[in-house]
Amino acid sequence: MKTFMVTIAAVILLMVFPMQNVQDIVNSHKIERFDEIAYSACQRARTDGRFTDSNISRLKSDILSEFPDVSEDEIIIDVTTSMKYKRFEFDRREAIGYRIGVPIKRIVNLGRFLGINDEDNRFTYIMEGYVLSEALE
Amino acid sequence: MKIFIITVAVVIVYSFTMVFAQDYRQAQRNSYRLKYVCEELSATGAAFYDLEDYSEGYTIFNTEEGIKAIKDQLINLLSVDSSLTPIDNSYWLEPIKYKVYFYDDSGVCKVYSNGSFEREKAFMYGSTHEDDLTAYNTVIFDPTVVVSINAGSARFRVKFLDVIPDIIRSSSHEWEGR
Repeated sequence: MKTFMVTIAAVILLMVFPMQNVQDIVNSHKIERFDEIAYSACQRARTDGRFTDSNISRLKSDILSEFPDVSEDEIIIDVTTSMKYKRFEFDRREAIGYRIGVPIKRIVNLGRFLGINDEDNRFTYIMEGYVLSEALE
Repeated sequence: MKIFIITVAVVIVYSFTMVFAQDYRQAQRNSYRLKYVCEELSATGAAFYDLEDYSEGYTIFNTEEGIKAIKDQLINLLSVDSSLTPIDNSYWLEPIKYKVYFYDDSGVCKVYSNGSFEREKAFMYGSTHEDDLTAYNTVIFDPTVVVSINAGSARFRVKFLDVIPDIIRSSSHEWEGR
């Protein structure tokens, strides 16, 4: 009986590792998809000369479809919406800036089982930078 | 007792495997991101060209402005300081090295290393671009800007593994259908 109980305890403990491995793969896939979505939005902004309303809406809906556990309010979208134009001399003021982020809500699988609060078991993934406008004046 | 000892051994092995797998995925993500940075910088470099030549049907890159923009954007996208050393929030550990190649209608390829002019050489369309940092060679048919970045080694916490090679990515942006 003692051996049986130790075996059960060992199996439960060892289950943490494959479960965490699966969680890491899921999170990694989510971040890669988020990168792709954000890159695509940035390239659209480059040709449009700014982040248009339709571009921002599409960005939000793409993120929401990929992150079903995230609400619209939790998405960070801080982007240039004023028109920027292509310049033939480098001028940082004519760049289209972006800061786009999304919360990743479960870093450690079985977090509660291991005594980790939901608030601590998350982080916000942010992409930040700028692209140059291709829009002609 | 036997089961306990085996469990402890398996936990240790699992821990190393899990840490390595996490580091590997993080390295892979940052390698993709580095590729995006190369794409972005090559597009930036190709955005500046001489308007007078362009009006006559030639595309001659304004390498001075292109390099100025690339330097600024690289600092912004890779979180490095002006000496290309990664700052605190950067994934990378070692100073970044990068090369930019400008091929245009002048028939001269200008090469910049870490933002400074390095050399120039004559070329013809149809010749092969040979990169100093990667083994990737591509044929140049149109005015093209190639950016190659060596971001150094990735972050791996399991130290007893063989040394993992530097992460180097390259991308080109070309003007088609002139």
